[in-house]
Amino acid sequence: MAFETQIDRLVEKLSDLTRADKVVWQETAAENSFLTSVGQSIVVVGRVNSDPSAPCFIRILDATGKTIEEAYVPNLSASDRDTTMKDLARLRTLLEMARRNAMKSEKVVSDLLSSLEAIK
Amino acid sequence: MDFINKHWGDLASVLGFALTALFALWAKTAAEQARDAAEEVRDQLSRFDTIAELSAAITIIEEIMRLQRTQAWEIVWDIVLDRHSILRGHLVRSQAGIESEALRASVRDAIGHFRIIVGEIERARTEPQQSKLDTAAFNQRLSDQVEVLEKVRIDVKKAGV
Repeated sequence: MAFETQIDRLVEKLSDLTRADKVVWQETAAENSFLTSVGQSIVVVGRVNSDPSAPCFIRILDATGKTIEEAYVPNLSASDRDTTMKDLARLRTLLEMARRNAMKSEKVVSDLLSSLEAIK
Repeated sequence: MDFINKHWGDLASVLGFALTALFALWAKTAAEQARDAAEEVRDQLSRFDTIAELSAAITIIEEIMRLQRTQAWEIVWDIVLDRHSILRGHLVRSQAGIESEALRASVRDAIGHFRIIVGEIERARTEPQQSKLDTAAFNQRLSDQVEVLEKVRIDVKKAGV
């Protein structure tokens, strides 16, 4: 399996598991970066800066904190712009889900709604 | 009596065999006991090492927090980065003596958090963005990790009781 395909599958799998609440993401000291521990590895997803349109990245660290692999999108090569945009969208979706999971947004909003509904 | 006189040789053989078997069994049990004791001592020493590594890690994190509070990045970041390197060594070594996968995962997460902080400092250093380093956010994460590692240390200690 080509490496790009593996990363692609990794993003897809992490997205599925995050959606199913089976992966727990944590906030980090870097704004817009979130980490989770999977098996013997640590996965970090984030944006390179706070600009919402900034490139996203996924980084895999080993148990000693060494970066084993990292992938950034978009890769600004014009020839594969479509693929790149698709990758970026997928990674952005994962990043957004990781953020919500780390901040427990769904629970907060749900509690907020319950409180609002209790106000007659 | 007649039977004994006739078969004393056989009886002696049987008795000898029984004694040999009993002795072998006793020797095996003694060897097993010695091995169990050695393993227990080894586990105990490994736990002591792990507790020492975690204690050293917590001390270093607290030192890093103090250094960061000075906000004098140009003076302290070499020291902070140096401390992070030592901190990572302590945490990596501590994992060897932790039996629980959940506790090891906590230590791995802590290593990941510190790696991100180091990356941010290195980036600010090379791209002169010192003013963008969010010391409060760094110290908040470090403080969270002190709590996590303290919990791991307590659990490792309890496992040795």
